[in-house]
Amino acid sequence: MMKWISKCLRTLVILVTIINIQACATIGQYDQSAYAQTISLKVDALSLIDKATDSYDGHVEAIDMFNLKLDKAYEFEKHRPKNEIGLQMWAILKSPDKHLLGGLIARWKIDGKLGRVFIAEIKPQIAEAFDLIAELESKKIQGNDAGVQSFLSKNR
Amino acid sequence: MSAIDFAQIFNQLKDEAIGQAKTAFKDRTREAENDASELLERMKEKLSRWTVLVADGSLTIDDFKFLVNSQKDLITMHALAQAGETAIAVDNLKNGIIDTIVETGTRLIPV
Repeated sequence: MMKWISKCLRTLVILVTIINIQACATIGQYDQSAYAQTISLKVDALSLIDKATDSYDGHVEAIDMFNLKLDKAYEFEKHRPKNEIGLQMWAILKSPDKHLLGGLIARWKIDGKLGRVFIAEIKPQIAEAFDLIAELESKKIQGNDAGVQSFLSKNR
Repeated sequence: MSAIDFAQIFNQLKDEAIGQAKTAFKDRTREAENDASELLERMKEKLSRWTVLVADGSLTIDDFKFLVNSQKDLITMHALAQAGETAIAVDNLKNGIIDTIVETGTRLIPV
């Protein structure tokens, strides 16, 4: 009886410690849909940017559809827990006041069309920005519920 | 039932946690330094190329300014990515400590 009580107490102490430490995660966990969304938007963005050598007015519908997807992705990122860093990165990428994707689309609208060499040079910069977001996501830790469950099953 | 030696348990956990932290952050510091060096090297090449392209008329001054400013934005994004990777390293460290607690607690807390 005493041995059983001691075993339960040990399990409880260790479990409470684990749960407290896990609750203090510094950054959110890996999200497969967020990662897939980032890659998908990167491909769409680079395809759209290729069209910027043409008139902006000729691609308004495609641009609006893309911006809608981008806004949806940003909204999703806004509501992920402990995602302040990721959100800031998205904000820089999509801001019309900066000089990456949002800034490029804004400039395309103002100038009407953009130079072929400029597009060739800015594309890799925007690709790099997307890659930074995707790579950070891919490095995040998967949920650690398995660790807790493994401990519980060993200590029944 | 033998007495629980909490001082022993705590000291073992503390030593293990400190060891893990030192390893984790030494690796992070080295990675961050390497990333920063590579980033600066790439930016130097780009700026050099863009300067040539402006000189030969392939880029306008406005194009050049936009591209240079894109690098400032990328530097910020790289810094944010580094901060994110450090946060992940901290969480990995915490998970490592969890494994240590489980192993040490299971071994040293008698039943």
